[in-house]
Amino acid sequence: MAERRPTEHLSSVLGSADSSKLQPQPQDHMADGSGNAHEHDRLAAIVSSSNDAIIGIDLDGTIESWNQAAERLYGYSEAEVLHKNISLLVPPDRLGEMHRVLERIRRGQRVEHFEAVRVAKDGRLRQVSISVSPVYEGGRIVGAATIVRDNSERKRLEEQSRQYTKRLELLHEMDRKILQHESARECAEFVIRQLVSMVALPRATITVIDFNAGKARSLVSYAKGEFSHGIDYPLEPLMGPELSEALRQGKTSIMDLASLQQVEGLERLQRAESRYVCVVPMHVQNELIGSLNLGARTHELFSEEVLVLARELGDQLAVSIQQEALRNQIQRHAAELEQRVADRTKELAEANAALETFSYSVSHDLRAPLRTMQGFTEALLEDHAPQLDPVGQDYARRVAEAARRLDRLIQDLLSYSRLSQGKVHLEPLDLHAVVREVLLDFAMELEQQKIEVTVEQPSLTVLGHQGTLIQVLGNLVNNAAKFVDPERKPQIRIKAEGFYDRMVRVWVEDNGIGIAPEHQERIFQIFERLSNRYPGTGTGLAIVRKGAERMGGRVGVVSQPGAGSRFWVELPKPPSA
Amino acid sequence: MRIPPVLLAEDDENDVLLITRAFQKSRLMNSIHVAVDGEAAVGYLSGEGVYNDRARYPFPVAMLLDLKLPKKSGLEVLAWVKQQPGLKRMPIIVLTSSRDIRDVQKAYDLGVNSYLVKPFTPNELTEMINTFNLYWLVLNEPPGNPR
Repeated sequence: MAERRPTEHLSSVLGSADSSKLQPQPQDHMADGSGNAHEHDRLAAIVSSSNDAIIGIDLDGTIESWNQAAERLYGYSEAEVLHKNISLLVPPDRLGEMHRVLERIRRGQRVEHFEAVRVAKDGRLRQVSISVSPVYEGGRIVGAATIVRDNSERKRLEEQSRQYTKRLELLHEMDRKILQHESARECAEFVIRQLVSMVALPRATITVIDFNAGKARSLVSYAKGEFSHGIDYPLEPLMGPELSEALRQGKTSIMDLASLQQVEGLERLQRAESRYVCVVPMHVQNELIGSLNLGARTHELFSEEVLVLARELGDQLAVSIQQEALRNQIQRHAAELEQRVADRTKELAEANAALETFSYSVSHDLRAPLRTMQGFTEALLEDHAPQLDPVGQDYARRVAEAARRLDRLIQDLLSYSRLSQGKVHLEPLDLHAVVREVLLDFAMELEQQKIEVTVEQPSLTVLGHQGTLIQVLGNLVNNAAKFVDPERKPQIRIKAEGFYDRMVRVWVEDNGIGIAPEHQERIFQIFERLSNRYPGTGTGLAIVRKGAERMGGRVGVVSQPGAGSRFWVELPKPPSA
Repeated sequence: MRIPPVLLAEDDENDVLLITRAFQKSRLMNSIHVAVDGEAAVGYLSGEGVYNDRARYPFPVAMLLDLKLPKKSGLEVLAWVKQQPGLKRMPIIVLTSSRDIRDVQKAYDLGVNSYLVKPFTPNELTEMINTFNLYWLVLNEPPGNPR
């Protein structure tokens, strides 16, 4: 084979951008020695300055030409590789592939854009895309032109993008788990599974650290395909001061367990295939809460990709762990509160029951001797009056009267205290019906005292408790019937009116003795009486006020001495009315 | 024929005296036997011990029952009576100072025939005993002697 300059050879191949020139051509065309020198130089310049490596070889693979891009790609100068075999650039396991390519060239076939791996001078692998075309001379295939494009950067970017996408997917999945309140344990297992699927790690542990207590607890431990949970262990010696300082600073540490002092229980790990441990801190809001520990046979397994992902997943896991801790805290607080409410409710119920028992025994035991006093005094007057002089009879009557008064007082007190106890069930009440019932209760007294009663009442409905409202209005009527002015014919007027939008006011008006303004507040207090000339225990108006308040209402009075009193009770309207 | 007595289960001596007085005032023909606590009432009705002598302690036509009794409460006595096949039809009238709705309802639940609250004055008591006499001892058709 004649000696030729590589560029010469190539230019004859790449004489034109038109690839048809690579097809077998009549020899006289190709061998046109008169070929113009200008064209030849131009092509040589193109080849030389191409960004793609262009390598000319003969059919045995011997390198015949080598441009600058080839030099840049592989690191060999032209002089270094010229006349060497192209297999120099092929990884040993890819030699078969090279031979197949050369075989195709000999048959006159082209190979276009196949992805290959080549070895550069420095030993690093290059991702390349290669096109090889046969070169003809005198109608005979004499060699091949190899155009090599460096794909390493593209491949690197692709790989980076793939990793990035995967990271995003994983982080997104973690987010979803956290939002769905999956337990920190489930999240931790997920993280370990992901990391283990990336690199075959024999061991991994997620540790939650309580620095104050000097304790650590494994949330999840993974060893040889199995998960275990909740193992407590002391921070020392695994967590020496250096390591914990590094963790606090947010640094990832890789330690060799074999370098730690021998500690019982640790030897196994030190010898094991996970003697190298990569400790990744887990932070949440700048607070170190634990670490993600990966064990491997060699520290080379901890690639940048693994470490970046471990850090990112670890920080998200930290969020999940903290959230769970907060959730647990809230649940604990809620449970405590519930317990406290239950305790208080029980105490109240007990106090209420005790009070009811007390009321019961007051009504029963306290009244029994009174009834006896009253009973025997009356029996004395009835059966033995002849033996008593008028003074003695008067005394006996006073005893009976005092007993009767005390009994009345006890009963009033009981109804007052019953008003304060228990629940009052409110329901819509027809005022008209309630007033009618109250007047029926007092019919005899009203008639006896010749009191004229008028009722002016639009048929209004109020929200109240029937028994309580009867008690309230009954006491007001009783009050009006009691404090009559002897100079006037007694009159009572009951009327009702809507008050603003939501309330109803019931008025009980009399033309009795009236109340001085300075006393108008006092009369609603229990045991307050303004005069001894009128019978009473001083509980009536207190019952009125307590009853109204229990139904969500208010009471008041408009009065002047000698000008009668106008008491009012204000109650809510039922929601629909 | 002997007129059967009324059994009065009452621990308060004063009330016994006042009720007895009311019985006298209303000229009741029936005598009164007093049981001073719940156990005595049960003993009398079941004819146990000394009460076995029905000549001295004849079977009552009705029972006036106080609720607040020592040893066995009135409600317990009531529950017991209503479970005895031979006694359950005997009219029982509660006569107590308690107006407590829980007592009233419990007594009716247990099958009491009537529930009376002790009035405050002797006159009212006499009136009440009169009515009791007329209704339960005269007008009411008795369930018949259990024995």
